[in-house]
Amino acid sequence: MSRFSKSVLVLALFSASTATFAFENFKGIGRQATPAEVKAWDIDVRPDFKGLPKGSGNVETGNELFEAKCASCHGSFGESNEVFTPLAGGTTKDDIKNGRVKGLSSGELPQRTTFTKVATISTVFDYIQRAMPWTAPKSLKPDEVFAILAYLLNLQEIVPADFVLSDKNIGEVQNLLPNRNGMTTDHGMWPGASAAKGGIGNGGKPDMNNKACMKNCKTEVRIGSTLPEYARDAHGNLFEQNRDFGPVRGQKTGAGASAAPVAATTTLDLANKSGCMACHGVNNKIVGPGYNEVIARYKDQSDAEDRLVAKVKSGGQGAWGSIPMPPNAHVSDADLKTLVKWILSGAK
Amino acid sequence: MVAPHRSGRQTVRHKGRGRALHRIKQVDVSFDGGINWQTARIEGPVQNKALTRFNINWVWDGKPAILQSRAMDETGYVQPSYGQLRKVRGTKSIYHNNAIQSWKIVESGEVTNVQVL
Repeated sequence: MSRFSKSVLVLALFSASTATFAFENFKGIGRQATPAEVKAWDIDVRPDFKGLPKGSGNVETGNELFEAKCASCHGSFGESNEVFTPLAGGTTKDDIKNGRVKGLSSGELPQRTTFTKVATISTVFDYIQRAMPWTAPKSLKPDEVFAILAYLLNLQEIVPADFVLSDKNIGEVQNLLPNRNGMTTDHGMWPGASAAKGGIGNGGKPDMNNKACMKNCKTEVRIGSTLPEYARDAHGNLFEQNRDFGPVRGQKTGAGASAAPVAATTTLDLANKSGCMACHGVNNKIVGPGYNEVIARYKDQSDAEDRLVAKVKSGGQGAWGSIPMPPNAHVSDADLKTLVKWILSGAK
Repeated sequence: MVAPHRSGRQTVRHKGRGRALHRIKQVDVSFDGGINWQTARIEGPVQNKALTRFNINWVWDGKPAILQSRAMDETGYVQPSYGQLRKVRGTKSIYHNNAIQSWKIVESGEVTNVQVL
């Protein structure tokens, strides 16, 4: 059998299986992908370099390409502008030797970069080829991807300035990646054989397991961490960034939005802040009447709330003696209402 | 995963979605930060590698509460707490975080994320 007919056979088998899948599970929906379509989609480059196109590129060409197509976001030296995380930096010669970036676990690293994290060079190739440049993804030819990757590897001090990266020597570069031993599959989120046995799983055994306790499971609730105050506005007001149709508009997260913590603010705090407590006690007269007296006078009046809101706002004189109450235009209507409600309900 | 919604003045509708590689078998919900749990209703369809809806009735009494949901899959694997996750993976682990999420509700009704150990 010639090589040609073999490949035809493989394609035929492949089509048959996809056809079965498509028509059994999604009857009447769509059509099966043609072999040409599947081929066009099938661009992934795997850790064992299956799918890697043939080609080569040197650091110098990569430098020029990077400057032209990548640097506006990633910076001339992979340091990146303020929007993106840096591509290069953060690793040492020892990391390259050991295959594990020490700064990741010691906490010395001020910021993670692509090369402090990535364990497989194939992933970087795949990503650039698939998704970059952002404005024109999949526009780079294999030689260009090799060149850009060579430049990045040089920035990271993994390869010298005269290096030519190709599909032939990329496997050797893999053995120099600073964090090549940094990948774990112990978390058991992936099925199949363990990394030691060439798989990406850990035999399906999770790295931890909980018990489905239902009653009195612990004596205290310990909160390990909370969203820090400064993180609230990190992404601006999400409410304004969401689409304006549909039921979900997103939470108001901007400065001064209602989402800001209000737990510590009681109505008493509001009364203090608004200046009420300078003249009124809850249970005693100071300059003006105590709130206990106000309650006693107004408790049976159905329109008391509205009348009091108006009174507090404009101030007055005479109802409780000769000392006037100043107008309180600085307090918002909503706060006035809250305060009056609070006073009439006992000021607790 | 839980997602509380504020609706009206003092009720919090509690509905969530959980996801696992295997099929979800049971989802328990806690309103007191994981001391006591109740089993939620699972809404179909239940598929592997897919989000699975669940719901449970709860009327908030206006007091501080911490809402959590804990999924169990068909293999009997129970979603871990943050305490368990930190013990195994430390605090610098980012990816594959499948620990129980917690939503803290304070008296004003404001909901924030916290990590309950």
